[in-house]
Amino acid sequence: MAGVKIVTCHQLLPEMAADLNQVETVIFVDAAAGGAAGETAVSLVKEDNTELVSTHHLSPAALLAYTELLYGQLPTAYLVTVGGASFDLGESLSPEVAAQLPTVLQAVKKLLPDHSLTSSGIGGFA
Amino acid sequence: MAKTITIDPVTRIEGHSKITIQLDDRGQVADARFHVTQFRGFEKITEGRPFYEMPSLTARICGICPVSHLIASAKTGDDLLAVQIPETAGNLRRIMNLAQIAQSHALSFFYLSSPDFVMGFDSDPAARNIFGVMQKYPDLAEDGIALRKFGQEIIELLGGKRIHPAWVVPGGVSAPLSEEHHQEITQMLPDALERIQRTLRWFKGVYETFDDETRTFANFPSLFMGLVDEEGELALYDGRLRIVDAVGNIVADQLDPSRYMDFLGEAVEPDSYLKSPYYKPHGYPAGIYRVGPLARMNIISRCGTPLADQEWAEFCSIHRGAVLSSFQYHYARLVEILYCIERIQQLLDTPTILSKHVRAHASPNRFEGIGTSEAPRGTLMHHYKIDENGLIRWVNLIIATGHNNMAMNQGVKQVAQHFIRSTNIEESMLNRVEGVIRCFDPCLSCSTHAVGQMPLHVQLIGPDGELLDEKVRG
Repeated sequence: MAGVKIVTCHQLLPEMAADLNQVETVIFVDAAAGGAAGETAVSLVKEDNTELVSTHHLSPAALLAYTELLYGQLPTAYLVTVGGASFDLGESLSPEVAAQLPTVLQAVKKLLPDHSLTSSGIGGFA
Repeated sequence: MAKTITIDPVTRIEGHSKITIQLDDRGQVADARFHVTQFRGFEKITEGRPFYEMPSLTARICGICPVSHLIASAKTGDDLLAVQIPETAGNLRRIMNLAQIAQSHALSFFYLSSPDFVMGFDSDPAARNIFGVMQKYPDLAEDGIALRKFGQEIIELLGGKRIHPAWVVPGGVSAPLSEEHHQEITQMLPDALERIQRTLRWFKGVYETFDDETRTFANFPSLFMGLVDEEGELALYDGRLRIVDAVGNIVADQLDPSRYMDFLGEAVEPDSYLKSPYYKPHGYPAGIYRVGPLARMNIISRCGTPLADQEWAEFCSIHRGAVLSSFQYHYARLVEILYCIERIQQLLDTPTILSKHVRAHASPNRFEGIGTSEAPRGTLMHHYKIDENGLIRWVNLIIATGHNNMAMNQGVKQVAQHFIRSTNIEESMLNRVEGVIRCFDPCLSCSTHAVGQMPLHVQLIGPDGELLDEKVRG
């Protein structure tokens, strides 16, 4: 898909600020603890430089703050969250969450007005 | 009345710990202890698993330096297979290890420690963080981000992903280096070189302003240990162990790491999950030694690359004999990043680096194997015993942070004795106690093979056990 890059990661990392400096729009997609299983929510993300610094955790808002402080510009940022059903050890999505994937995909596609996201891209989301 | 101070948790380090500081009847620091309060126990979890799963399993010990565990574990697997891995595989593993050390050092220096150098140890803690560095010295912060990205991208190009790549396997690596990726890595090197040289110039211009910290941050005589090659050059992937004393004399050289039990003991203290290794010939606790960047700079005869050798010579000139202050771990990290960049270039230039022969195949030929390499924080040892089916029966992991346990404890005591002047925990004292631990860049998730973050908890306790003051952060 031209113009769209999918990055899979287990957590956000400081050096991703250099990547965010290169894009117009970033969409963070993640599981959410709490809420109904499979429930999809979309929100705008604003930069926040008040977060406690840790190498084990970096929020989308703090990463955006890095980007602005270092490079002086910000992409438009969205957060798409999907309510998790189970956070126990496992190798696949729970049936409740898996059933909601088309809804998640639709939510992401709506944020990409100039592109169409094919189903082959789903595997790229962590 | 004697008292105790407790710092729990410790911040801007990897893992979870607390510090207690014991005061005597006169209110002077009598003792201080660094307690590692997390535990996961990979040595037990992995029993019964096939040995070839160990690189992937043990890499999960840490998200910062998974490559170090991958390499030490795969080398243990090589030993169990009793194979000589292809030369190209060894060189590709070396490149990944160098990239790993560069990115980990960048994280430690720029992300965790530079706020103290830029803002000052006594500055407002609300601004003493990476955001403060970005605002005051954006170029420095950008260099840090770029050097971290440099290391991570090489790991990803080689292993397919940045965190927990499964590319390093017993017998070699699972795929050769492509011409395209060779070119991509080569093109990254000049920019990384420029950035680390700029950072070195900056740090050499400011570190002398931290005279108090240099004098008191774990600045004492000890042994130093690390791997060197046959010529005494810096060896981060393989080699033999050299031990140097505080004066710079070689105490032992070309020790076979696989015989570590002959010369390293592991003491256990009741108040910490972190073991206390020591050099057996000197006994416990006299056999205290340090590992990691400072130790490596102290033990080697030279780095082995032109620019790093120049910087190493300058580094050595700051103190007669071995450099004893652990504050200089930060300086040593920068010299090592420079070395890593130069060494990657050397390895990429080897004629066989694009060879497709990158893996030796065999079944286990031994029931016991040991693998040793240098991780960012120091010497890393994996030791496995397997049964006739290749299943793990016994594991011992000696992690870099563990080697430094006694030195970290002694360093905390030294800082506490210098900076504590009342029964209250002052912010400047708190940050310096954390600061001495940060010099070692300990990874407690690695050293106890445990999960979790590393906030700080400090307690100040009197001689009768009364809790006088307490601070919790993180």
